[in-house]
Amino acid sequence: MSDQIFDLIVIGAGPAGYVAAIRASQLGMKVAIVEKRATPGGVCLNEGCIPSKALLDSSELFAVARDKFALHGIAIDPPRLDLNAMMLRKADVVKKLTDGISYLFKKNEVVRLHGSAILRGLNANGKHQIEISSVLEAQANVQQSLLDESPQSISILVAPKVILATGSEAAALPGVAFDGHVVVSAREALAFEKVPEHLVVAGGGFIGLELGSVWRRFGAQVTVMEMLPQILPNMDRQVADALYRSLRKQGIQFKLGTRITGVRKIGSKGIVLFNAGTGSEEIDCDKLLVAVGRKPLTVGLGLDLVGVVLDEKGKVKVDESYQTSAPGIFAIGDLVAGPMLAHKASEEAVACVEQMVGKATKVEYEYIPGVVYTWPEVAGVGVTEEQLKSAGVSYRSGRFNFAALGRARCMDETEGFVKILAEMESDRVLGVHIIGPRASDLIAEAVAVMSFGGTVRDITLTSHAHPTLSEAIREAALDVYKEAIHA
Amino acid sequence: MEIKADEMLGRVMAPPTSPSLRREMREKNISEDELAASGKGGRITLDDLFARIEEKSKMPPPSRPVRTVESEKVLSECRCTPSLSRSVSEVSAQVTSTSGEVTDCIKAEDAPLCSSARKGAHSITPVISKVAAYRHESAILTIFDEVDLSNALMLSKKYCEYLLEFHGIGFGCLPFFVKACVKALKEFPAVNVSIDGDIVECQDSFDIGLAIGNEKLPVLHNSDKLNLCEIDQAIATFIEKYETNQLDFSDLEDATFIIRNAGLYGAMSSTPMLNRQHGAALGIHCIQERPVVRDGQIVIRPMMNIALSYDECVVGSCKATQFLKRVKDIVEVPEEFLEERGELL
Repeated sequence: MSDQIFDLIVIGAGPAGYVAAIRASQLGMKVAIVEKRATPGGVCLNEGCIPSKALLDSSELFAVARDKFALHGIAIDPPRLDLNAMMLRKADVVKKLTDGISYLFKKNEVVRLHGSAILRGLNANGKHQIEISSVLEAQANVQQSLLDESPQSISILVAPKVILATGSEAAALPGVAFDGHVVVSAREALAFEKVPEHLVVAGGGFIGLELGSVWRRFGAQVTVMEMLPQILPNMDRQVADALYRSLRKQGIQFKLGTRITGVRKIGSKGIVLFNAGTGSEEIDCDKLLVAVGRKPLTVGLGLDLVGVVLDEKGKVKVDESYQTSAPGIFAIGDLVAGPMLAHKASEEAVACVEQMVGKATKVEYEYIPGVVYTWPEVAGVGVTEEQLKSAGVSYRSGRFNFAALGRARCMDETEGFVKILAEMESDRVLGVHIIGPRASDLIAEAVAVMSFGGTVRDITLTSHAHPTLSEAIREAALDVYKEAIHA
Repeated sequence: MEIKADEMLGRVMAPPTSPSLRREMREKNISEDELAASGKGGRITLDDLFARIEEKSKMPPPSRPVRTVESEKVLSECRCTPSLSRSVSEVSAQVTSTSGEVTDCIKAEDAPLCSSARKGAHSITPVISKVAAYRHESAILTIFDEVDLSNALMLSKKYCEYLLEFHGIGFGCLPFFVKACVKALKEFPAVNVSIDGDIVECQDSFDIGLAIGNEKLPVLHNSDKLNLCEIDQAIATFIEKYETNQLDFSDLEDATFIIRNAGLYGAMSSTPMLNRQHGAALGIHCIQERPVVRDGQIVIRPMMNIALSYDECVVGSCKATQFLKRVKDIVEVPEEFLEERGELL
């Protein structure tokens, strides 16, 4: 048992924690970061954004080769899926990126500890004590599930400031516990050993839709069940509806306004019990992917001991500088209010640490984009048309379909549109919503324009290269004044 | 976090700005209403902000006198005795001009901070860039002298042998310098000041900051009330805390005068770094046996170079020179102040 003294201790090495640790070290602090997992990067890198995008890109190429090569005049035998090789490539992508973060820790002299942390209150000098149950170095590569049996050493770290960045985990459906085989979370759905015949997805949010898309492209039958009468409830309605139609065209089945009431397991299969308002029904499935949201990971940190207060949703309450109700303890990322997005978490990390040294950095939440990586992709920033209507704001809107765009035609990606919402008097852009090819990249222009307080006129007066997908944004801006050339 | 349309509308009505400008405004505590928008379509640009900052800086400061920076001229105006003029034989005017970094540093100083950040900032913000910024906008001069430590060393050997147990290398005579500075500060109150922006306050208390390492600055509060032995013990405690990274914020607050011991690293001579909240800083260095002339004879004495950096606009060259000379005189004949108050132990 030994005491180690730092300026800052970060708990959790996901997109919030690792960014906070590196930025703090750049600013001259002596930093330790504690992570349960053997590799840094959190859910995002290990079992979320990155592996899912690796699979989405692979599955997209597969679908393109299967469905679109012929259209382009490329004649091939039907492509065969080597799921094992695809998974290995995914693992390799993840490994390269997590190795990259390990390297950054070394480069920035961040002390990295592999183990779990518990807040142990203040010491005699008024500094926070963190108890670390470390996994010994030799055991650093054991699997998560074996952690409990690994030899451990207990040590105490001391620092005046602590950042909690433990992130979130998949929430379970009431009455339907995860079993890792039939009832699974996104983590397992990224690593199925074979393509399931029938995948039922609980939840019409972006995680369920993205993973549903992946397995649909590989030939699985996919059924999405959503409790609400629509998918992606927070997205602009027109965009969400367009995606709904597109996904259905791809063969994904939807059961909206449907509540899953239970699962019966028979061997390696399951029977999902659900109620769509017309009495109880049943459906067979190989896998049930539960993607009904995520809940903050606050258990086991000793939060109540040190007086960190949670809000009614179970998130950690923080002030403008991300300080919790316990002085010196900060929380960022999925633990606190706001969308559970990696880029939002990283921005909070930078703002939190820079405020500690007196910089006036703030996260501008109103300009954080959200993306759904289905195909076509969906991306949005700012307010939706529904929000403007309910707030009684007078606005104009413009819209442009990719079908009329040269580059989209060349790519044979003509689905979708760009929609721009602007305030009536000032012409300032209030929201941009895109469904279509590479919407995730196109949204960057909209974020930049809005961050700079730009107007629709600003966009129309900005040169956009031809032929590119970005022209769709300019055309949509022109359409606000019914001046679009190609519509 | 769901964005409310009406909140969004509030932002629409504000003049268009950019992300970097908004951060800059928060850090300078300047609101949009203060700025004249010169950009297209009523856009506020970074230039508008910089213009406003310059305008603000030109407003006459409430109490801080602004004098010319030409050190030679100021010096010649001082009525110096011949012995004093020897002391000021070396005057360096380090009005270093620095580039990009500067704005960044000023920010860290001026920004409105949450209380915890303000304290934290002191110990972790890169000090060097702050100094660069400060030098850019102030006239910091340094004067040099040397001091004969025969008596001080003899005294410490003779009377306080057991104190040496606590002494790290180079700290042997630091308590003498603390006492000497306190005594000299009492005679030159203009040197014992704290500076907050444009406000210079002469202090009644004698809180001597002791630079340890590069960045930590523990403070001996009310050091006029401590005897040599107590000062020495306080220093030993600070060093121990520093080495275990346990210095508390309360140890680091509000010095009125700084002593920097560059001798710790074996330096012969240096220009002590001056923070913007202090009027002057004394630099002490390593002790070296050197031949010196006493009563027409060449003798070997333990000698130390000392240096005083000071803000020309606050302390002034004349006071600074006299102050340094006084410190030298006291340290060379420490019996004088020791007998005076019997404060050796």
